[in-house]
Amino acid sequence: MPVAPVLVCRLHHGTTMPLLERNQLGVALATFATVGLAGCATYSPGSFAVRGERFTGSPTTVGCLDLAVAGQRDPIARGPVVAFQFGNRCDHAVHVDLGAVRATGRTADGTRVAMAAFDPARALSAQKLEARRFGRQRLEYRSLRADADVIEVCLEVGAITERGQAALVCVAPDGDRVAEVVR
Amino acid sequence: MSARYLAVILAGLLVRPAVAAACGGGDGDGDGGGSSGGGHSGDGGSSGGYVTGNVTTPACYDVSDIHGYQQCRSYGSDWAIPEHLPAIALELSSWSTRVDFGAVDVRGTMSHDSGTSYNYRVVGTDLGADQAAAGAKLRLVGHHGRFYLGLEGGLARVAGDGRVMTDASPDGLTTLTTSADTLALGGVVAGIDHRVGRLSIGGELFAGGAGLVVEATSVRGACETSDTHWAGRGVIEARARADVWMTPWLTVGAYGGKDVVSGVASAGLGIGGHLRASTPGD
Repeated sequence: MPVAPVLVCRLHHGTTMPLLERNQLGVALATFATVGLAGCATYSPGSFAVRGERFTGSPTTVGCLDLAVAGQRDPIARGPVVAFQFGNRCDHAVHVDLGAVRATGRTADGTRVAMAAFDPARALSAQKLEARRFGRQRLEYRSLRADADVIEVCLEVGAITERGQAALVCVAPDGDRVAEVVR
Repeated sequence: MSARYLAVILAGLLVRPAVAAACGGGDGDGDGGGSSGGGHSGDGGSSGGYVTGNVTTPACYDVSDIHGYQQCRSYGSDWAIPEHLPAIALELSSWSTRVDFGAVDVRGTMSHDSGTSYNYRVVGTDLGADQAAAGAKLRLVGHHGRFYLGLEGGLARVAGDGRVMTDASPDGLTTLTTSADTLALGGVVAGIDHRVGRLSIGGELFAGGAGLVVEATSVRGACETSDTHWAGRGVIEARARADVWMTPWLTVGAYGGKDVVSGVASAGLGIGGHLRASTPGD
């Protein structure tokens, strides 16, 4: 049998490559799992910490949120600054509404003054926080009385998320000291 | 085969940035932005930028991370779920079904260099009885509340060799071998599900097409010639499925369905990755 015709005849009209190989499913599964698991750093419920760094301030749990609140001063801000750090301890997304937090200040002479978050663009609104995710936000609180020297800010944080229980957190802006947590 | 590996990896690369966006509003590692330190303005933040020589100048720089003083970032952009991010899921599942050869009817012409040429036709009965098939499916689904819509594709290998050999010439020197060993599926899927605790149950409808790869190989002496055909048909499959949420972003589940056109049933087990966690009651 001549060699040349054999070589010509071995050229197929179509492709006969097998479409499924034995290990294909395993490789695809591994790739898929790697992509999925590499995506997010998550919040561990009750840890009040992210990546080994603990939340600063007074810890409390409101609904699905683990919340830490700290009072601060900042040269750029006229009023006391409150730092909120929060982690979603649930397996579903929840709302975080910092605008719903009611604030009251106490001056050095013991006077109570109403306070509001500095929000010139009126941007504070309920936002969704993904399951097992975390965030932080710093807000300045201002009193309607320009001369009020606020030494303590008390925050009603129960409305910060859905199904939150009433909780009053008081913080001193001149230090991270926890003034008071009342339920 | 390498093309399909590449497709899987590319799909992963496409999903990865979206996952990052879900984790942190598209801002690096997804950490909550700004400083939590007390008594100073923190480290602010920047957005965008350009490079001049070795110096990077941000297009926008925040002098403080206190809300109300930020110019570059909007409220909640560091931690809130981006509004534009769709609830997308990528699901990989096994696929078991039966192959109905009844719709197969392909024909062609075989030619050998020796001058032998003949027409052939392959019909379902040539391929024998129905066979089982097993393979994998991949689908990309977008969720909106309880409803979802997506694209689905799959490949399965037909069990058994499915090969039939016949004499194709009067002199008995030419044989025609026909086989059908690969089944492909593609189409759109729409459904509704309901989550109770960690369990999601639902029903869906798949509409698309299934194709059977039919190969005909003619051998005359040492000369071999082959043709590959695509025998397709429409599929409308109703399915029931159940998934368990292992984590807020990972489900494992099972499904079973039946093609309302051919009556062929299918089933499988799957794993799904979700950009957004589901909410019980949805």
